Amino acid sequence: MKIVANFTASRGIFNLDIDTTFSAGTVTAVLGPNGSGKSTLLRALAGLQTLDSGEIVFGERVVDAAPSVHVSPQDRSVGVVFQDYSLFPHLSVLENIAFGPRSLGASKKNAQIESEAQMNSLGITELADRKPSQISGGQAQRVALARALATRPEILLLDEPLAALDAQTRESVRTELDGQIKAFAGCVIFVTHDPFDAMLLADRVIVLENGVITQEGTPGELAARPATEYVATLMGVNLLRGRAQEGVLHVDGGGVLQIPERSLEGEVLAVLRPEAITLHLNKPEGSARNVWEGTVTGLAPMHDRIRVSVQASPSVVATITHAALTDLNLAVGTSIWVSAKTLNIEAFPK
Amino acid sequence: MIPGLVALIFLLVPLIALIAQTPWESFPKIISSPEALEALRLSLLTSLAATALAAIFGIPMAWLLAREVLPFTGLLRALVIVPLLLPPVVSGVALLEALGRRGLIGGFLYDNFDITFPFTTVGVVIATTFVAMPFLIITLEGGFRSLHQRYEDAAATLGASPKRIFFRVTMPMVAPAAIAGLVLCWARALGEFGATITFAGNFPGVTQTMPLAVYTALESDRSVAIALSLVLLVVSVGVLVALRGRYLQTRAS
Amino acid sequence: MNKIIPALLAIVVTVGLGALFPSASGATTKPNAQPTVLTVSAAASLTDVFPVIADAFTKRFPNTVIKFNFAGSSTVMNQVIAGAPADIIATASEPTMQIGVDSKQVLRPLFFARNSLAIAVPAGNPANIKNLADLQRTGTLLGVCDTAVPCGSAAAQLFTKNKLNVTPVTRELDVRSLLGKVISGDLDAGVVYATDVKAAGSKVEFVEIPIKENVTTVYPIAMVAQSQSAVLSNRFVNFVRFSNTSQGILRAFGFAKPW
Repeated sequence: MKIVANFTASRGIFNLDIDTTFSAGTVTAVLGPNGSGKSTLLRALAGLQTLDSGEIVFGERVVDAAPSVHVSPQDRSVGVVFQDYSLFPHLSVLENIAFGPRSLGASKKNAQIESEAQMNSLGITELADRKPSQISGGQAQRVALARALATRPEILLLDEPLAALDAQTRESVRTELDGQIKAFAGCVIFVTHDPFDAMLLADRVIVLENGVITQEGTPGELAARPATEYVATLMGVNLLRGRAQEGVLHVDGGGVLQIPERSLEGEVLAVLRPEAITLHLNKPEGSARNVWEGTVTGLAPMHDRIRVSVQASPSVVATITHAALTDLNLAVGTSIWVSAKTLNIEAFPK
Repeated sequence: MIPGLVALIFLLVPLIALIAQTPWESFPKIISSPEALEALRLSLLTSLAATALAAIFGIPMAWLLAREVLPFTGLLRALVIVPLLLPPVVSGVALLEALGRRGLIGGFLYDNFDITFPFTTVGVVIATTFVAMPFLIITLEGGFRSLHQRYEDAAATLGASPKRIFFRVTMPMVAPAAIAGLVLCWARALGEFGATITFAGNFPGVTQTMPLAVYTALESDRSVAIALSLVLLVVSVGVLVALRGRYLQTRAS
Repeated sequence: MNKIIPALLAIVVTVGLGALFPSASGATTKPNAQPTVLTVSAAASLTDVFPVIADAFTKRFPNTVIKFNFAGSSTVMNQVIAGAPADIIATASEPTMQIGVDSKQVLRPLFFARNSLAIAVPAGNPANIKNLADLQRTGTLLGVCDTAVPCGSAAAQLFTKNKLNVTPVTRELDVRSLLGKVISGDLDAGVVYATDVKAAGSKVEFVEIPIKENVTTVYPIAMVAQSQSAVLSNRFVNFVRFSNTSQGILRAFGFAKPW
């Protein structure tokens, strides 16, 4: 089944403008900063949000065509795993999972059989009689998934499925979730603000910024060719905009860099990886043809390395080792020389 | 601290005085008299009926206010609270104007169906409901508001009908607020005086509830009034004790 | 003897009036003095007439301010017995006043007015009440005062006296709320005082009760023993009872002579 989403919707003063499709058997991540409209998109697909214009089509079925058609959430065959899971606190785990089948008219017995099957496949059978307040975050995530799957939906929507978890649980739950959603035959769409989740779980990523889609592609495509500063920052790379002419990039806002592609002309984007940048206290001699001077404006530890923000023309972020930090004796305000090999700059037309 | 203690003394002394003045030797006889039992029976009957009516109509109203389904919700909320601020006698007059035999609606009902409310037990229930229902609505609206909409959304995506959502998700989740609201409403109904005597009149066995019996007794036999007051006081304290646990529970959750 | 009695009467009247009404100029000689405040606690049925009498009184005795506290007779008496500040008390029932006398809280009550009962009916008399017997008709919504208040005990006496078998639907705790429900049309008839009917004006009609069937009540007035202004209080009591002005006002409001 294919989902065609071509609509506008608003929540308060916020406007969402969407034009995309989702395919069955594909896991799509909707990636965007807070307030970008990710949740509104998910709510619109679930039928919890009415459209201002346009339509949403599930396969052959028009579920929304503003303003006349609006199929209610009850009749959409959509399973939703909400942020914070929204498990009903007054019902046991089993009752939570059986709630959907019961609502759709299943007998008590059949609903229980279905729920037990879901619990069994997610390995939470022993939680059946517990209340949501008596289970861990990771368990709650599985219960929420089981509850959503128990109605046998054609589409599975997950809103920040891992955001409610602490860092340690997250890793293991992400791995489990990866298996679970890949086993799901229909469309899977999940919303996240975390690029790791998007990279690791999704076949395809839709980037949403300020209510519009700014980029669509595989995780690899996004990392290689980020279309916006937001994506570049998420991918941990420097994105430079400017004009190319005969192998020279004139960066918007100042600075001139040598680039490998001599044939590029006009408006381009260039990606410069932080690890490809070298920092020096004195002006370096050597093979790097791009050398410019700046001031350290920020230092942030990241895994085993340090991210160094440098204000210069152009401003960049570099990553260095702890050893290098000690050698260079860097602090905020330190004057520094930046160098980057031409071959490490990847430029492409905008 | 001192002003606080002054308030405490101020609030407690009249109650203590009431207990101190209770004619203990005649107390059992007074409260077991047919008049007192009749008033008590009527009070319990009408206050429970009023609470039931408030539940049937007030709970959905509270939900409408909390979810801001209707236009001008802010204005509606203010209007719903009005009976809470009005002197009950004024509420009684307003009810007479609306449902009296020559009232706006009451006139129509009397002319066409020979239905009248004043001087009937039904009239007592109407007056009491009018005054007490806002307590339930206000308390429960708070409960509905603090309940995040996403639970109702979750239930909707699971295929639950609006009715099923309301009874299986919304209501169980606001149960503490609902119980607190119902008890407050009932307690207010039990103590209702002004609107009842104005709208429904005062007749033993038909419209004379406990508070009316107290006031009537005050005109003739003070000790009877005090004894009946003490019965009401005991009921109020009982309600308070029952409520206390609920209130703490709502705070904690 | 024939000459002695009128002579004695003349003396009594002269001396009495002298005591009652000391020269008006005497009362006005202290223009800048603090006004004396008299608090009058009175039966609710006197709410309309007493302020008019008080105006007449303060015209005669300037530098006097009269404050009122109106409530049911039993209520005002209870308040006085409980020590509420009042200089004068007027009730709508003799037994109520007697309670005050017995507890030595009031001094020498005088009867100053009489009231009788009437049947108040809404404008147009929709239930077509013509006499006391009509009150017994089934379906007639009849209201009375509770027996704990004077208008109620008077109504009860009225029913007993005339052997009426009536079933009131409400026993209101004061005349005014009873009359209000008659005016609004929620009651077909209410047994109230003639004075209350008069006060309601054209909003309500009334059916007279013949004297021999009727029940009357007398209004006593007395000074409260603890009054801080005994002289002036006594003057007020006497003014209400004896002055032509006061008695004229009382007639105008529907009260009959008590003697």
